[in-house]
Amino acid sequence: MNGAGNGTPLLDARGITKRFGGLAAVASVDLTIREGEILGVIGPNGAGKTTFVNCITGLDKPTSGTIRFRGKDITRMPSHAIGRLGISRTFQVVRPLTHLTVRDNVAMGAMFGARGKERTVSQARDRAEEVLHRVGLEHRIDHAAADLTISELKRLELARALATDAALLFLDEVMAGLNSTEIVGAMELLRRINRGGVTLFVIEHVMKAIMGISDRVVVLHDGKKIAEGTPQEVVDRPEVAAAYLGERFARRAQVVGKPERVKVQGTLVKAAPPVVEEPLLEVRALSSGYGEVPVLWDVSLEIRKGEVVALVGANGAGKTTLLCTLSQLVKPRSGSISFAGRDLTRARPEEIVRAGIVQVPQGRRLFAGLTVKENLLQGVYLRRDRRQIEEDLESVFELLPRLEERANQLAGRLSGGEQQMCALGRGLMSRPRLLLIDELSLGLAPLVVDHLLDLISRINQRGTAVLLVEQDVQAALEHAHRGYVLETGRMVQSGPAAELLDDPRIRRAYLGM
Amino acid sequence: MARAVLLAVVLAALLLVPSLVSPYTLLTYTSALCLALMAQGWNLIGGYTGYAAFGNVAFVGIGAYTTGLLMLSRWHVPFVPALFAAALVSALLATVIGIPVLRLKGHYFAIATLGVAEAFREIASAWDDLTNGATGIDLPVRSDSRFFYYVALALVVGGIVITARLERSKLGYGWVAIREDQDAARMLGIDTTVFKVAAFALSAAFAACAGGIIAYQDIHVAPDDFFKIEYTLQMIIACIIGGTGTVWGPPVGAAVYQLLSTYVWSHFLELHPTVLGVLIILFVVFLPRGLMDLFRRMAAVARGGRFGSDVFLANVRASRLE
Repeated sequence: MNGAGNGTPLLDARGITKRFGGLAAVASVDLTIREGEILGVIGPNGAGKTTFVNCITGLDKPTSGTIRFRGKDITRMPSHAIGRLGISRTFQVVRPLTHLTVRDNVAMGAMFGARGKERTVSQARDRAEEVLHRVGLEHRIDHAAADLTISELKRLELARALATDAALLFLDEVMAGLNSTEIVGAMELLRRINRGGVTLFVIEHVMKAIMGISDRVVVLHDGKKIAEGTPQEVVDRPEVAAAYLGERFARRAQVVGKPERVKVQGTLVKAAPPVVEEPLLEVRALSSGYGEVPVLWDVSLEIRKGEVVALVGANGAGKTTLLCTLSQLVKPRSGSISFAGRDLTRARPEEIVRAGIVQVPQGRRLFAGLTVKENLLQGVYLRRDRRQIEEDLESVFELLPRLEERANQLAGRLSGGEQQMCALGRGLMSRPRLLLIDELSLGLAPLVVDHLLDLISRINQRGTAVLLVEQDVQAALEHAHRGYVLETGRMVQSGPAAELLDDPRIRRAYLGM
Repeated sequence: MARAVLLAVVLAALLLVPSLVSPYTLLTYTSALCLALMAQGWNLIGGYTGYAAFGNVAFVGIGAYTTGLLMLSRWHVPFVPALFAAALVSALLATVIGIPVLRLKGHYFAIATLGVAEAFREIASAWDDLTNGATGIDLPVRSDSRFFYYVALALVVGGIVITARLERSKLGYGWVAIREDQDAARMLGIDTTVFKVAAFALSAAFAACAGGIIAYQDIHVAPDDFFKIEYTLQMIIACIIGGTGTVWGPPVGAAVYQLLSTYVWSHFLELHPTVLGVLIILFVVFLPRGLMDLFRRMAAVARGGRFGSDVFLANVRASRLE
């Protein structure tokens, strides 16, 4: 470990709560950042990490709690005033000033920046040069920011924050989208910045990186702080593994290698063996991403007819991006997608649906103002055959009787589990041959999840293939024939679900160590 | 060097225009210059700061009324001081309006400014004691079209100099930061409210100058002639044609717009708005970054560089809807 700081609190946040409507995105979090340290912050999606930083930096006002910086209360300060006290940050999605040069981008930070250190435009441009040397971007100084690669853009964003002379930097996923060599470089850079006297608060999904550079790690989950300590202490905490992998898998992973194994609990409907060995979906060397940011590299995947395939991997690994690329909501950059012998690499989203691939999106995305029945019928608006539609509706209601009971109720009034059923039902109405399900259990109680997983098996038994993305690794693998593991945008492993269940590498893919 | 020569030639030509064309044709040139002034103003808030203001016509009207009323007042303020006073009044009003309205973002800001412009038109129509209501006010006559041309030209040149200086100042840097990412700008320590209000106030001052010139030239100011949405649209279109957020875009765009409009008017009398509309759509689709971007690329090719057609086409594609 590097200079672990001298222990003096630099920033002290007490009882920070941020509510959006009824939901507490951050729930009374106490957190102290010590002068000179690198504090890592991890937590699954929706844990409240970015919201917490927004509260500290004044972009969101906390519902309650107090924040002190060097003893001074900054809770209600506007963000530009907080910035001028010597606190800066980067943003999860890089937004460089694309029309300006690299130098002007960084000069922007140096010009305004911390109080008492403002510079004139020309001084700021000199300072920019100096900072660009530090982050290793000096060779790009006169290029337009638009010409930079993603890894360079991340460094540019960092340079802009550094140029403000901030004493405390909040870095929100500066390593997302970088390849493993670049990550090593970024880790070294952060260490160097820290040794230069800047305290760092680092949010990162790349576990290897955060565990490698942090003096201390804080874990947020569902808006609460669930653990705090050295990287090793934190990883060994069972509740941390549970937050990432789901309770059951975490317990299982701890006993892997020992003679006695945790038995599969409950009486779950096991997936039927795949009907045919014939491939339905073949994905070869697929790469894609958003704008400048690559997310998937060289991903290959195969789903056979009548098969349930689980896709697991840590947050930010690219699971949702893969589903969206299959649906053509995100365009592939290279590689190929073929479905039932047809090349769909360049197809439009509506052609994908017609071909029989239907996505049940994360967070359900129901039409809250329409009734359950109207929502289900939204799934068939591409179809013209009225009689068939009636039959399909019958068959969805047969599978999901709860939906028939609530057919005329507004979808927005349903419980979380019922909404997920409705989303599944809507997907089924398009008569899919392959259902892509994103985060089935998101925000649902365990009992409801078990019920939904049984439903997936029953849908599968009717002949529909399923690609299942699921946070609860054990549950997903128990209900699948085969599984794939994504790690930072690459397929690192695949195999029969039962084998993957006992593979210690999955735990590593999630926790980095 | 080549640039300086080009500028000198253009300026000399513009100075000679009144001796070369008929007084009637000169009116077209003056309108183009007034449009350039409005566009220069809009460029500060809409182009550099990225706030789609749809109510800048309010300041054209306020400029027209203030200039006229000061000239008609018992002090008989001469035109030029009256014009500057009008710019100041507009800027102050823009500050007062801007503080609440600039808290809005995107469509909400656009609609709010649209509402502000309508409100001022209503005030001008209803406040009989001051504005003489819908009938309007009559200004002293001055039938010297060269005078208006030169005043407008001087202000446009001044506008170019001011914009060029602002672009390299902290204020200009701050505006661009706000346009690109307001939250990031805040975290860099930029007091975004102050910067945005400054842009809005300056843009109002430019619009007021244009309004004052048009008022004195037309010798009559009535609510419906000045508070009309066409002005707002024209200034935005001029900026888009020339290139938003650039020094030269607004004046170049205003000239091209006036040229197109005059040409289309004389050749397609019936279909004038339709043809003009189609031309504007073509501009927006194929030159989303405006003529200045095209010129810059052509100059790069002339110097032996690349046109950068990949970036150019990416811009074109990005401007299209899904």
